[in-house]
Amino acid sequence: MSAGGSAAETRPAGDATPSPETTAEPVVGADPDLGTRRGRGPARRLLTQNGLLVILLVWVVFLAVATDGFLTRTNVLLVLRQSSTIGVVAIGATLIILLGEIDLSAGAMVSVAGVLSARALLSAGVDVGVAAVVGLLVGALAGLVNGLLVTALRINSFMATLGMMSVLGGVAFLLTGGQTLFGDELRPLAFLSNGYIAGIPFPVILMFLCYIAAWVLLNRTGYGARVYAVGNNPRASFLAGIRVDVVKAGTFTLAGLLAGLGGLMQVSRLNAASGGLGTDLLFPVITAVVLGGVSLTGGRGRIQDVLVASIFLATITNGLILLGVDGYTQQVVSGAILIAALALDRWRRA
Amino acid sequence: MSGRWVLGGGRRAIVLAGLLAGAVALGGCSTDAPGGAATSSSAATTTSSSASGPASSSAASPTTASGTAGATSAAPPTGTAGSSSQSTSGGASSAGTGGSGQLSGKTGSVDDLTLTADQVAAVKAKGGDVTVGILAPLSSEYLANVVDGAKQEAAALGLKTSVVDYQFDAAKGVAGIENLVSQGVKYMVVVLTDPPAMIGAVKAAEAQGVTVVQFAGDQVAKEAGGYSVAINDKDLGTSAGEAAAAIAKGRGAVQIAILDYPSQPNVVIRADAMVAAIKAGAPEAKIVARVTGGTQDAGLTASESLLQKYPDLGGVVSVNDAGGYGAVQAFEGAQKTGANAFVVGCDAESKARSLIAQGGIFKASVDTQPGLTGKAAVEAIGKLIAGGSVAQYTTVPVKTVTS
Repeated sequence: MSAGGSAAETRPAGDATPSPETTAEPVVGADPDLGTRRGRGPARRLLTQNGLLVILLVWVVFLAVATDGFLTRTNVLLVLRQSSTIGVVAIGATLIILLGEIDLSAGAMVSVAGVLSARALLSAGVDVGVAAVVGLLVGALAGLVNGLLVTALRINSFMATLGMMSVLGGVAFLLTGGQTLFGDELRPLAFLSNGYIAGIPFPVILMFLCYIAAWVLLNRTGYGARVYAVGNNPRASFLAGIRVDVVKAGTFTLAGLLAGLGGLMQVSRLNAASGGLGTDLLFPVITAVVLGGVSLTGGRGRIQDVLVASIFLATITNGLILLGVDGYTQQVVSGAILIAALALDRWRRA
Repeated sequence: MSGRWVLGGGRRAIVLAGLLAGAVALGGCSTDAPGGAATSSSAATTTSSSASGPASSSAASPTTASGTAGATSAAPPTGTAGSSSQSTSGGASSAGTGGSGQLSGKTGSVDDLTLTADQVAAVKAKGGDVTVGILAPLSSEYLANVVDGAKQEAAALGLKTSVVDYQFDAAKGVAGIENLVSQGVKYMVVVLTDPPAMIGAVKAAEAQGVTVVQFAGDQVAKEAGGYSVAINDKDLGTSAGEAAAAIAKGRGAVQIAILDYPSQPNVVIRADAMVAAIKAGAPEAKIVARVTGGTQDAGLTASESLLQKYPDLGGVVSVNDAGGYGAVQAFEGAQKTGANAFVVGCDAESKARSLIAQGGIFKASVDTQPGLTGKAAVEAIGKLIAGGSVAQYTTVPVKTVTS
C-alpha cells in the first residue's frame, strides 16, 4: 500500500485536518491482524481471522439442533433476505467508519430516498426505472451534503450527520404528511426485495454482489488503500499525497447512494413508504459494523466480517422466534447474544 | 487542493448558502404534503393560526408513520380514563384555575363535553382573546390527526391556537410548555410522551394559572389535578381481541400469534386485554406466540419467522395496524388467503380500512378516534371557558371496523 510508510509517521502538531483518535501505527489495510498472528497454528489462525464466522456457525449449529425449522432451505433464504437491507446500508456505514468518521443519518437517508421514490411512483406516475434513479440520486445527494459538511465546512461528522438525520427525517415526514404511502403503483418495485433468480431471493443476490464490489473496491483498488490510509492517519495520508477531503466526500456520497438503494429495497419489501421507513435501521446497521470488528477509530476492519455480522443479526430474531422465546425475553436474550458475540470476538483477538 | 479545504473561503460561503437554500427548498416540499398536519422538521416549532383560518385536513386515520410512534408513544402510557387507577387520583383543587369552569366529577364521556348553544356563544364572545396552546409531537399519523381534531374544534369555537411540535423530545416539550406560558396562554392541550420528565412543567404551568387538558394519557389528571381525555387501552385491546375471537370461533383450533410492543407499558395492557378476550371468546383457539412487532418491518420479519415455526398459523392480532400490515405480507408470502388466515390490528388507519374493504387477510381494526380525541379536549376547554363543568377523566370510545 503506497501510503503505508507515510502513515507510520508521527502526526505533526497543529494539524487542522479532522483526525480520528488513532495513534500512529502501520497501515495494514484490510487485514487488521497482520503482524500479530505469525507463528500461530492454522486452527488458531482460522479463529483469529474469522472469529465472528466461527461464532455464527456455533450459533447456527445450536439453532439447527434446538429447533425443527432453522436449517431448512426456506428459512436460511428467509434469514438472508431479512438481512439484505441492513447488509447493504451497512456497507456504506463501514466505509465511513473506516475513515474514522460516522454517519448517523443513514436511516433518515433510507427514509427520504424511499419516500421520494414511492411518491414518484404514486403521485408522478413515473416509470419504475426513473423512480429507482430518483431514490439512488437522493441518497447520493444527501451523502454528498454530509461529505461537504464534514470536509468543506469542517463540521464533526457526528454532529453534521446528527443534524442531517433530523433534517432528512423531518423531510421524510413532511413528504408523507405522517401518513403511510401505499398503492399498486409500488408493485413494479417488488422484484427488488421479493423477486427470485434461480430460486435465490434477488435481494440476497444483490447484497452479495454489493459486498463483492465493496471487497474489490477496498482490497484491489487505490481508493480502498486510501480509505484505510485516511482512517489510520489523515495527516500522514495528506502528506503522502492523498486528497483526504475528496476521499471523504466521495465516500459519504457512496454511502448515501447505498442508503438510497436501501430505501428502494425497504419500499419494495414493505410495498409501502412512511416517514419512519428507515428510522429503525440505524441501530442495527451500526451494530453490524461494530460487531463486524470495524474499529470506530478508523482504519481497521474487513467488509466481509460486516456481511457475516449482518446475517448474524438476522439470525437472532429468527432463531429466538423458532426457539419459542417470547417478546419480553427476546429483548434480554438478543442483547445478551450481542454482548457475548462481541466479548468472544475481542477475546479471540487478544 | 489546499490540503485542508476542498473549497476556498468564498466558495465555502457559497456552499453554506447553498445548503441553507436547499434546506429551505426541502422544507418547502411540505406545502404539498398530504394531511398538512406536520409543521416542522428539525426543531421544536411553534405555528399559530387565527380562529378564522382554515383548519388542517380532516384525515381521520390514525397512527404510525413510524409504525410504533402513533400507537405507542401517542397512546396513553398507562391505564387511562376509566381504568381502576383513577380511583386513586389526587385532588383536583388546582384544576381549572385559568378558567371559570369546574370539575363535574371523576369520570365522564365525550358526549358530556358537547357544548350547549349558550356555551358556544359564550366561548365565541371571548374566543378572539383566548389562545389554546397545543403541544404534541406531530411525526406520527395518530398524533397529527389528534392535533387536527383539536385545531378544527378550536376554529369552530372561534379560539386561536398555537401549536408546538416537540418531536418526542421531552426537553423540547418542557421548553414548549414554558414558552406557551410565557406567551400568556391560559389553556393548553398536551400529549406527554415522557410523563415523568414533563409533568413538572405542567405543574409549573398550572401554578401560573394555566388549565391543562391532556389527551392520550392521564398523568395530568392523576398527578397534577388537570384533565384527561383519552381512550382506554384495555378497551382497545379487548375490542381487537373480541374481533379476533369472532373470526377464530368459526375456524376451530386455529393458531394465533400476538404482535406486541413490550417496551411500552400501555401497549402491554392492550396486548394483555387481547389475549384475555381471545381466550374468553374463542377458547378452542390456541395462542402460540407473543412476539415484538410495532412496525411493518418488525411485523413482517416476526411473522415470516413465526410461519417457519408454525406453518399452520391462522391468525395474527397486532397492537397496531403497522405490525398487522407486515403480518399480511408474511401470510401472502406463505400463499395464505383470507380463507385460512386473518389479521386484526388497532388504529384503523386509512390503509387498514382499505385492506379490510378489500376483504382479504386483514379482517378488522379498532378505531382509536384521534380526531374525536382532539375535538373532545378542546370542547373541554370550551366548557371551562363558558363556565361549565368537566369531568376529570373523559373516556374516548373505541370502534371496531370490520367492513
